[in-house]
Amino acid sequence: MTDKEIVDSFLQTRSEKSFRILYRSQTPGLISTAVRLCGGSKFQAEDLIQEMWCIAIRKLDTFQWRSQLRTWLIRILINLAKEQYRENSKWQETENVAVDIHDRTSVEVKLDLEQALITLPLGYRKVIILHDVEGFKHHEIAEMLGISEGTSKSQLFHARKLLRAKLNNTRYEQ
Amino acid sequence: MNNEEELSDEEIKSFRDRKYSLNGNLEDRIVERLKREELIQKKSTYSRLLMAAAITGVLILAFATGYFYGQIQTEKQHVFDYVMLLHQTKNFDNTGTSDERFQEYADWMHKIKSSGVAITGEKLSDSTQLIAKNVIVGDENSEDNRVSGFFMLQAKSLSDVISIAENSPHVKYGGVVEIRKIVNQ
Repeated sequence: MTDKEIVDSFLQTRSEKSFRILYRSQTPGLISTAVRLCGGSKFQAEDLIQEMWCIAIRKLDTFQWRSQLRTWLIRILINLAKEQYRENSKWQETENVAVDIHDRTSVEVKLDLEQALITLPLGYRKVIILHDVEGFKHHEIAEMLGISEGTSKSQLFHARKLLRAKLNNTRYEQ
Repeated sequence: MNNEEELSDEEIKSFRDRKYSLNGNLEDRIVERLKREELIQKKSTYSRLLMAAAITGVLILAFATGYFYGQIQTEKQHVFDYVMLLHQTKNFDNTGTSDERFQEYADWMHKIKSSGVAITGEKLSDSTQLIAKNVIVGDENSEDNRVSGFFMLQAKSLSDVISIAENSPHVKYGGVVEIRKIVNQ
């Protein structure tokens, strides 16, 4: 089934079964994004995903398919992450949040990169996640974040610089 | 790494290959919350269908019961419009057994009924008691003209009754059907 067929089926019945189909079609691809937006905290990522689905289900009948469903859901995740960031002081970006030990792998590059990513300031983190990890274009990122394309490109430039500095354990100043 | 500090293909791949897993019951917790907030149905489609089928079944049963009860009540309270008196004269064809003849009349009546015409009837005994004021006439069993039975039926018009009577076994066997309209008070 296509995403639209799954959504239409859910909107017709609003059944638990059709929701679970919708949930399973989208959530696995959103988990990593949610964890990274939450600075590596799986606990907070679970809350984020739960809130995302509550908002999405409330507004699903107004979704007009101008973008992909996944794009729309990520946008909700990002807005929620921004709200949580504003409300929660422990989300200060300068703190290093340890990656769950069970996620450690033998690939050193992967671990360092991931840890460096999740310690970036939220604004930089979002752009790198959306562009380099999720593959969105700057005009899409601009629309999702409510910024200009130029700002998106600029943010990405600085985000990469800072990421590289963290990896190299060097300082980066804008 | 190029001048634009772009992530290398390997670095991008490492990000995209990284899979996180969350608590296994997250899906169930979200479902329960959506149910509490009435954003999804609380009952499963199956149980809703089952309930709908049960309600439909009860309604059908109630309707059927009411319908048949109504039918019985209707037959009991039915108002007939016409009477067909079955006259037999000496020319009447009495061949065949009484049971066979009775069954033929009964089958014909049921056929009329199944066509939607309310009809009932009875065979009358061969003996007749005629009573007049201060005179007991006694048994009358004339073969010249006796009423052997009757039908009562509901019909919109005399012509309908005539059409029914013309096709009755009684006429076929040479009897005379007297049609009388019932005067309903």
